[in-house]
Amino acid sequence: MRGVASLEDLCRAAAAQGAKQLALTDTNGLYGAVRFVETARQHGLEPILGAELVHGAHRAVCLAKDAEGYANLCRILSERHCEKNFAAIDAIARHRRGVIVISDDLAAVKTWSEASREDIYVELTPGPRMHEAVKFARALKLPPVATNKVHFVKAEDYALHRLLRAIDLNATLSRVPESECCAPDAWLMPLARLERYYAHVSEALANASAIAAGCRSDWDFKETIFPAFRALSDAEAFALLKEKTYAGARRRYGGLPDDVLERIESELAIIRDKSFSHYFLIVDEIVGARMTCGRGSAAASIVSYALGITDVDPVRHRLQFERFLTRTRNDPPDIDVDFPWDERDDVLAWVFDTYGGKGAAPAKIAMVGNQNTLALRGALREVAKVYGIAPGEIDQNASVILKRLNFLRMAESPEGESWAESLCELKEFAAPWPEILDRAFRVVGHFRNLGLHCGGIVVVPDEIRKYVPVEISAKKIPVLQWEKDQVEDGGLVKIDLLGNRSLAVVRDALKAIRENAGIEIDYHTWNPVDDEKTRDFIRRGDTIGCFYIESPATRLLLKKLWTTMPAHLKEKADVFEYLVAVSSLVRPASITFVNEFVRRSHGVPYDPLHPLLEQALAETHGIMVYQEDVANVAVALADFTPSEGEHLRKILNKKHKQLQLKDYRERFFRRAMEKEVAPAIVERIWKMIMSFAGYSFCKPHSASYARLSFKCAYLKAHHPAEFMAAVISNEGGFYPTFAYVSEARRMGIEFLPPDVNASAWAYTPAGKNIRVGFMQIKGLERAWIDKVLAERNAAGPFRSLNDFHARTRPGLAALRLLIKAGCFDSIAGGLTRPALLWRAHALAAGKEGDDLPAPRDFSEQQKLKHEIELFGFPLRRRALELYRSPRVDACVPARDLARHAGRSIAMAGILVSEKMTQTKKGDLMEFVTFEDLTGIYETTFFPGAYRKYYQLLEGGRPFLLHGRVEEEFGTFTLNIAGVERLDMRRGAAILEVDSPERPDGFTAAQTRSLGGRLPAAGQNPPRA
Amino acid sequence: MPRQIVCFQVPSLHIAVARASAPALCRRPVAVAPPTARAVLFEVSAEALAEGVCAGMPLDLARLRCPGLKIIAPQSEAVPAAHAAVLESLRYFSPIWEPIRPGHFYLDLTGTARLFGRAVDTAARMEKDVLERHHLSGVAGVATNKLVSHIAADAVVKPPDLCGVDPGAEKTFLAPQPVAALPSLHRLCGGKTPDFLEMLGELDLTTLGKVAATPPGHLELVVGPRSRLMQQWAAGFDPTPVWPAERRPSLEVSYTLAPDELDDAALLAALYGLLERLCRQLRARERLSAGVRLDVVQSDGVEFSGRAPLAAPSHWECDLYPVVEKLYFRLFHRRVRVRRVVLAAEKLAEQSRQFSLFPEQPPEENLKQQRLAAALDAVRARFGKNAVSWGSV
Repeated sequence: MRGVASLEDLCRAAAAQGAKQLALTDTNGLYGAVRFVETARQHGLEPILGAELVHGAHRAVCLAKDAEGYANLCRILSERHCEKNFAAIDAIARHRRGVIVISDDLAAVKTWSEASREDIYVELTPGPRMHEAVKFARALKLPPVATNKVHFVKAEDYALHRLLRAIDLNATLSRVPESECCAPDAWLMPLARLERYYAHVSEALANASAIAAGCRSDWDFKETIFPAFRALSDAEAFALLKEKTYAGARRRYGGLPDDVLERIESELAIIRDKSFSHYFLIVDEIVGARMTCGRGSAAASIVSYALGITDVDPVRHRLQFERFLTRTRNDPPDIDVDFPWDERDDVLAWVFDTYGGKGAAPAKIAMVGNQNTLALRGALREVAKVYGIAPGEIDQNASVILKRLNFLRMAESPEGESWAESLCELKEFAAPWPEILDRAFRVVGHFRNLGLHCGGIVVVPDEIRKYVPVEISAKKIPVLQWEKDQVEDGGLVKIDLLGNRSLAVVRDALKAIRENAGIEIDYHTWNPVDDEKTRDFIRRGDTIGCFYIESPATRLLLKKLWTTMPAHLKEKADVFEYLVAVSSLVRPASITFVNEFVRRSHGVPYDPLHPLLEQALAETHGIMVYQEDVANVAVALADFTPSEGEHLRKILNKKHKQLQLKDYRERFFRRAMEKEVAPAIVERIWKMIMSFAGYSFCKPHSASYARLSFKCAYLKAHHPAEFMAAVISNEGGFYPTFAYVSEARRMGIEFLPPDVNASAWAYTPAGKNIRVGFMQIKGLERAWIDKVLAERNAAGPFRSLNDFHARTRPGLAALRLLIKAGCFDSIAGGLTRPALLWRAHALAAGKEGDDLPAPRDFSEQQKLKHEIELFGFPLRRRALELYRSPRVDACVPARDLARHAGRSIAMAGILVSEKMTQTKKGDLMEFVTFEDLTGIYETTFFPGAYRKYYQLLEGGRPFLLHGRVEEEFGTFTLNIAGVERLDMRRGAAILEVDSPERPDGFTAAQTRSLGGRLPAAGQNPPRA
Repeated sequence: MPRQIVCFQVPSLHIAVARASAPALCRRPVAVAPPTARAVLFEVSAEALAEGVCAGMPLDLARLRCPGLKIIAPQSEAVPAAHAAVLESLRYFSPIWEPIRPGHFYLDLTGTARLFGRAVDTAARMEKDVLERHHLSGVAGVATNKLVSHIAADAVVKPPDLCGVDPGAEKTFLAPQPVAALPSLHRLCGGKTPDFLEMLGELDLTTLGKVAATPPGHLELVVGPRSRLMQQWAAGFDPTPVWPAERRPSLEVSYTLAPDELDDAALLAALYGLLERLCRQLRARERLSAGVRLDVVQSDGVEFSGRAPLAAPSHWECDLYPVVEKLYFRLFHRRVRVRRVVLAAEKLAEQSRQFSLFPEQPPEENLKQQRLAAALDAVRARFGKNAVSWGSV
């Protein structure tokens, strides 16, 4: 949070000033080294790698003269971040080979020069201390060098620099110490201007040129650094991998059929040739016997399947190994593995323990970094904080600004000023908001801090600190200064070890089934794909809670696909294969292809986009579904080589892709037109290719996920209580907890209230019902509850409040929560909850007494209020029941939606989830899911309705909806015309609608006369 | 003889003053907010309150909630004048009066029955007098102490009206009142009033009657050592006198920043202005302060308060300012703008008229500062408070 300019701006400005070389010296890091090399070359500059080392009172600029210098620089910086007793002077002295040291830290320079004067320079920077530095350099006869400690491109960016410092230091502008800021003239001055400062010491500028000429600038990070498994040679590693693969394949297939054998041999040959044996063995060792789910293209490998890294049979599902690895592919693919989310930290701990280096052995492992940058939301918040805006006001205005941003169809970083001005005028944002907005746009995209990638690790054969500087994260994990893309472009091979909540759901459900029903299901051999009841659940889209296929979009697509599919096709159709396609098809940019896919699946004849693509897309009815379709289409239509096609696919998912993509586009168009494909067709196909940018799957990945989806659906179909308890307990699903509770209730499951003698931390199945766990009570600490449960298991159930207190010594706050949640009702001995609370206060004060007050119990309304406060939803009643009124009762229930197709109706519902999207024209619209007492239903807010009502929508709130029922492929949705919020206090709808064509016949004025009133903060309809 | 205390209030004084000169504002929702960016309401009329608008609410939100809301600027000149005018009317009835805030007073009518009649009748005369002479509707509570008279005045639904509580009937009057009606409740719970009220509600201690009826030992379990005080209040017992001006234990001045401010230099400048006002009042009353209290209220209503003693009692800015500045930096860490500052001189003592035989000579610089302050006092006394102000070159 010091430098203001982007790499692009810096390089452009330096090139414009006629510079030939440019050194980028991040403070204590090489955060942008790979990207800098790339950007500098694009601007015709020779990149010099270096860093500004700052530690305590010491400071030096270190430049890498050669490869050894680079490794040493990485070591110095790693020590700076990782060693508690780091001493800058000593560290540079130990790692000086190949490093040019420039410093105005005179004491340090003196120490270094005493050991050797080679590559030591005295730094002269314009300012009051320059004279002293010149004197020192002349006294010690050390060469001076001119620098300007550049922090920004233009002088006027100093204010932005101060703002960044204030953000970084959590301070206001008036409280940023001067010592924390650079000098106001630390900008990229042209040489002519800089020369004025060095008239009396002109050799300083000459030395700067000489240093630049002497530093290496042809940096190349293309060489792949493979890990090494237990110091085995390549041949030994391959032999071990082969042995393990054959053993695993025999276990999986019960023998080795010819096709399996052939596939194994062909894969092993490529793995050997590409030196991937070590990599597979390391991943195999990490996975062990754990419950996992392979991600990405590795699921196409039979070797992965045999080793147990993935769980989907690539032979049966026709997954191509070439998607993962080919002889011609230059960039190494990575293997991604999902573990149950709560086991992943243990897995990481084991890996770091194994490869982390012990004693004198260097560490070979670090996690991939995440270079967190300020997005617009974060930038607004941070700048507003510097300007002293209160948190509530920040939330409110940031929300309005971001929503408005979408309406104006701006890109993520629009040209701020004019837009900010118009927005401030439009929304009447008062000072200092216009200034905040302006500043926020200027800091968007700025590096904020180094975080951890969600699961990527890098293992190298020797010493990780010589490739990239390493830091220690807040979780005490070593982390690389590079993010995913730089790691890959830097030649390091990444292994993704990720957390997956649904794996934990399956694990917990299987355990509960074993304990409750005595049924043992083995995760590794269990095959739910052929179970008819499970298939039915999937065909119906009855998949709330099921991994990856529970979103409204996926459930609707499943319903569309299967509800109206002709019987003869339905008989033959493979549910699993379709699920694989559906998993890939539901992605933001593919919405326009979804209905076409359904139509073609139902046997409607179609013409392929171009005859050349007929073969490439035959499996998916001529529609591009999987990532590999990008490569296949590029090969078929534009004669790309498979390697080029693969590279095109890969750069679609990169952040810094524009330049490369431009080249590929030009090549794609040129070659396709050479094959006489019409420009309009090429354009259309290119757009389809672009729809894969950012978020898309390859087929092996989808197949792997579909298998886990099937397992979840099986559990939901056959063991609903165990499954739903596990879904709610593991949290983090697509829907909020209350929606899963409602879904379970619709499945006939009842929820039993929490109880000190019956509840666990998590939700637990109780016969066919579910017992609410302590986790649902907001404010309770897990560690303390674990102690309570241990005490209960050791010494039996609690007999009374006093007994509980004596055995667990709770704090008053925890005891109040438990009493209000009803956890003591079963052992209250006739005392009401308020009476128990009196006794809790007495116990907390160390007093007991039988004469304590015994007030009457809380009213039903108070108990419901406590439930909503503590659980987030009412437990003993359905939320919508609290809002009943004659108008709500007159609404059409969700279960009858199909009977009203084509009609305008009113429905009541609690908002469950929202999914915003764009029309072809770029207008915003939203798909919103609601539930009432009879079911869950989908609604569509087309742009008009969305613009009108978006500010009203809020998860978990009840609404009265007016609209027309639309039917499509046997599915029914409500096309919204009007929205009213329901209010419990008044028992009537609050006016939110001013629509002339309200389907219920009420005019706005009439509704107002019902007691309508404008809603609370931030929930008002937009102004006209 | 039981005391007779009147709490006289002109509710929403800014609005009342505005309505007195502009009758069109009557019977419609009105709120007061400074004409600055991101303003919050600091006073609302009963009609606005009924529309869901309340004091402390951001102006934008208030407009959304109540589109017909009429916003008026603070009546910064008219309100002090009205306050003085009302006081002038009230002083006729008692020499012992204590201002609470603009338009709100306690008056001790003990012993005036033979002169003016019963206290409730006097209070009614006060209301009539203020209404007729100044066109301001007041409410009054009459009781045997300040606490009950305050709650009685608050209980009046619509001005002009009054509520009298007969001696001995305090407990009966307070019994159905909610605990939240206690004017100094925040003193019992360290400012966490909502949490405190919720906890009392859980224990069915919702009214002052229930609190009064709870055995002291039981209440102590919940409220702690302050249970005794709370129970006294709930029973209607409050021995504090109506302080005449010269005996008040503290003196405070406040300043509302419009717009709210964050910059240290601007805030310290505002604070110095307050300090000058405070010191001027101390000097005018020939009193010395031995300690200062600073309250900082931020834009979102979060409030910080701190106290600091002075090395020696003083009424000079040069002695108080270093303490105030230190207190400011100690209190103000949170990155949220400041809306209001309150500065109080505490532990007041009368200036001794006896000179010391061996006086300690203050440093020359302090003497200069003191002479300058005295000169400024003289200029302002003659030409008005804004006649001279500080600047820098």
